[in-house]
Amino acid sequence: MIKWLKRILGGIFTILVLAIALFVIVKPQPYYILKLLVGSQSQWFGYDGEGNEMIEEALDNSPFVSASQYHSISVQNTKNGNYDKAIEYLNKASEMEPENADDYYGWVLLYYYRDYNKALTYLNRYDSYTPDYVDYVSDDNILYAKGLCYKGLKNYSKALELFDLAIESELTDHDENWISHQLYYQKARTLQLLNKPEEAIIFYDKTIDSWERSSESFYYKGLAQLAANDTTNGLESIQTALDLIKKGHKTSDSYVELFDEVYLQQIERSLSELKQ
Amino acid sequence: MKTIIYILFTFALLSCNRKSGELDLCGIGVLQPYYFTGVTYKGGTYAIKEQFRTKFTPVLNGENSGIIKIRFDVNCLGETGNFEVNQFSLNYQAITLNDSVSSQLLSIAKQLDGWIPGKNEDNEPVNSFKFLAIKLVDGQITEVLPK
Repeated sequence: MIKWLKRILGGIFTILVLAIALFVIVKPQPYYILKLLVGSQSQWFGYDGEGNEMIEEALDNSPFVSASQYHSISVQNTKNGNYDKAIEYLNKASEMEPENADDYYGWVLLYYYRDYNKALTYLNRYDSYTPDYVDYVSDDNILYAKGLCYKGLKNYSKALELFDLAIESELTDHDENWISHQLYYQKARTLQLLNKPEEAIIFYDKTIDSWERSSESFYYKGLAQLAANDTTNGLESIQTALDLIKKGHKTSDSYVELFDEVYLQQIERSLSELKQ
Repeated sequence: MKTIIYILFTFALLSCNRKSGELDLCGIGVLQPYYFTGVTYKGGTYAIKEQFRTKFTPVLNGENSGIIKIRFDVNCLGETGNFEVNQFSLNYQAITLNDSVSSQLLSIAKQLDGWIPGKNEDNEPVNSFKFLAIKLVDGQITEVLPK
């Protein structure tokens, strides 16, 4: 009985060793699929060099790599700041399937890279695929995203034109509830940058109507009121912004700094300077 | 099954942990991404930018346009270490910028001492890895990314 048990266990052990040897030496396709997964997971844990080496070996030995696979690999590299790799893979995805890649490409260049000119190239190209339809990139109306690019390039008039078109398209296709806090906020900021504080205040009020705890809107509304010589209300608005941000009310993102994001120190410094 | 694979994978990574000794990482030394743990800086990106703005002296000669990425670990006590620098052109190719640019920026990054450790699901402080990417045009800082 024991003799047969030993033979069975020995057989299982031998098969297992042969299977592992076959997997490691011959390296069939599942070996590379596993390597790709382990490489991606390594990057998640911060082992960028090791992770990318495994991923590259897996890709080199794969008969076909899809655009979406290149896209996925690029995403993790962007999150980890491996910009050379991220763009290399995103270029491949865009070359293979521009209609499915250019929206993300433009959006990521705008938010994560602050590369406004290159972002516009991809956003415009993506927009051209469906000229009669206003697309969305991530959660953003594409006209708004393009407006952010022009704002980043300090072409405020063009930015304002695109924010207005984005608002118009939302009102045509949906209603005012679809207009995001950020869209009105950025329109207000742009008006302020164009030295139109009274008009900016109108749009800060719209953002406050949609979210009464918008510390960023109160802060910049306060600065606009001061620019319009309404000192009392200006200081009051900035004080409201300070109270709100101390309670943690502000818009932010886990990955990137938002456009015109405000901070406690920034508001405190402004108030301190204004009271001097 | 997923948990077993996760544990095995974690142990496999720890067995080849290249960073041991450079910074005392808490627990068994597992690092998690900044966006997962929520590691932040006292005063936020505004305070970080202030540090770079006030301490960096523009470099007007040599290769002075590009992106300097500084990657580092923040342990559960908010201490930093294991700094690594990568340099890219504005077209995202690996390059080497003027030494003065990278050494200044690395020095400023190492002086940042207001890190608030990231937390796990149980609200306990944990180790995180983090990076800052500083974009320069003609030797002047134009952006500090990602946040």
